[in-house]
Amino acid sequence: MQAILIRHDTKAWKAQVWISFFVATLVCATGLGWLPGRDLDRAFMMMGYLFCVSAAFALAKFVRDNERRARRACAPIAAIALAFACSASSRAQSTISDVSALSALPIAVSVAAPVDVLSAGAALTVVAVEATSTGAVWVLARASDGARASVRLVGRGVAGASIAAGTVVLASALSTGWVLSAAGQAICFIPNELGRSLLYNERITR
Amino acid sequence: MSVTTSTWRRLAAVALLAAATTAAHAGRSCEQKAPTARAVSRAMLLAEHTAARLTQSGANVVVIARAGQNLSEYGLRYSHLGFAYREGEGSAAVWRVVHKLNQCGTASASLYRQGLGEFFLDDLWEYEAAVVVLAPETQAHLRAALVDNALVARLDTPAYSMVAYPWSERYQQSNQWAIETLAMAEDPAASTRERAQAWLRLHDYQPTTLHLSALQRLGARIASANIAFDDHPNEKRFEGRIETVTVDSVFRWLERDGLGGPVQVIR
Repeated sequence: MQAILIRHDTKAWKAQVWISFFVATLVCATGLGWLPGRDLDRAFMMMGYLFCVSAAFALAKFVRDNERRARRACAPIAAIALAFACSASSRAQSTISDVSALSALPIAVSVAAPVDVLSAGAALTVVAVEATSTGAVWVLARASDGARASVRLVGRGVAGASIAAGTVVLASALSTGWVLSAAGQAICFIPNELGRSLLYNERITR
Repeated sequence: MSVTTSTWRRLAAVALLAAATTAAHAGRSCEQKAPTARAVSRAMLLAEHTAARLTQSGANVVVIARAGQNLSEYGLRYSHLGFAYREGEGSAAVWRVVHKLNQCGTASASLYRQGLGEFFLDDLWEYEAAVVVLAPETQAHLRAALVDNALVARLDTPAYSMVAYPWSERYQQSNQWAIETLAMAEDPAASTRERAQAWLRLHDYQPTTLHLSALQRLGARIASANIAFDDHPNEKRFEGRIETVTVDSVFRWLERDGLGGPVQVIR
């Protein structure tokens, strides 16, 4: 399975980006304000700055869009974040029917539910994680009595990719299935029959 | 001299600030953020309630909308619509949504057929759905198109702008695809986008006018790949009057034109 590229900007990086942007803005604006010369010269300089800034934005956007285009083959749909389509390779997606019929949720979806081990509010520990061509298999152990079950997942979502052995997850019961979460973040949805009837994903046009 | 200098300084600051803030708002879509367990549970509950209400309504095809972002600044409640139709009969019936989705804030979009779960698990602003049941004949016409992938995609233009002009064929946003496809289903002669738009004009569809300043337009154009204004006629564009197809305007029109009933809100 192809390695999954998950990009998280760190807080420090975000701060640096903003700080450098504001410092650059401030320095330019100050320089412009005190630039000796006529107003017309300053107006010309400001126009130059604006052109430079907009050209830089356009270039950044162009680079970003082209990178997306290259990854389009496995790009997920709009606002739904990195869904299983992106974790599973596009080849796998088109050949494995039960995978493509399942959803493009931003979290992993279980295709085999260990209903007996899931009870409302149960705390479970991930004992083992195994990557497969379409997602992952997690072995879960219930904290109360050590009962084990394995969950076969398609996709990993975003948080699911960071799940390793030893993670404690909480099972919450919904009328449509179960949500497994770690620290409040949903990592996996296990639909029951009703939940399955509400999930479907098919891309009609390329 | 000092007056003009400070004016320039202020102008420069405003322009740069505008560029900075719009850049921060752009590209919300492909953010790789895991949903909270609460968000998943609320979305799935809304999907469940919606499916139950739709089945109860006895309808086969409805227009369905969600509130994906806060548009109250523009006097709008819902951000995106699609068509939901019933598949199968009796207790085995499920609802599928056909809609057009923009890919990760890029300049193109594709059509999808999804479950109600996916439709609502899209980082909603308000967990509520709005539904308009279409007139029986309209339902029958539209259903034939919705189950046929070639037919439903006939008027689809991949080039996407979030604020596409309703009477131009350069771009096409999601709600625009929906009403043009509705026109095609209602009148087989409306087989091109141009003709579908003519049909919409004939049936007095009136788009929403958004008022956007020059700075807002410049900022949005620079920072977002999925926003363009070059399809708008110059006289409206440079006055900041941006017309586009919104859910609220479609709902008003459907009822006025007798194509659909009143808006039902599902929570």
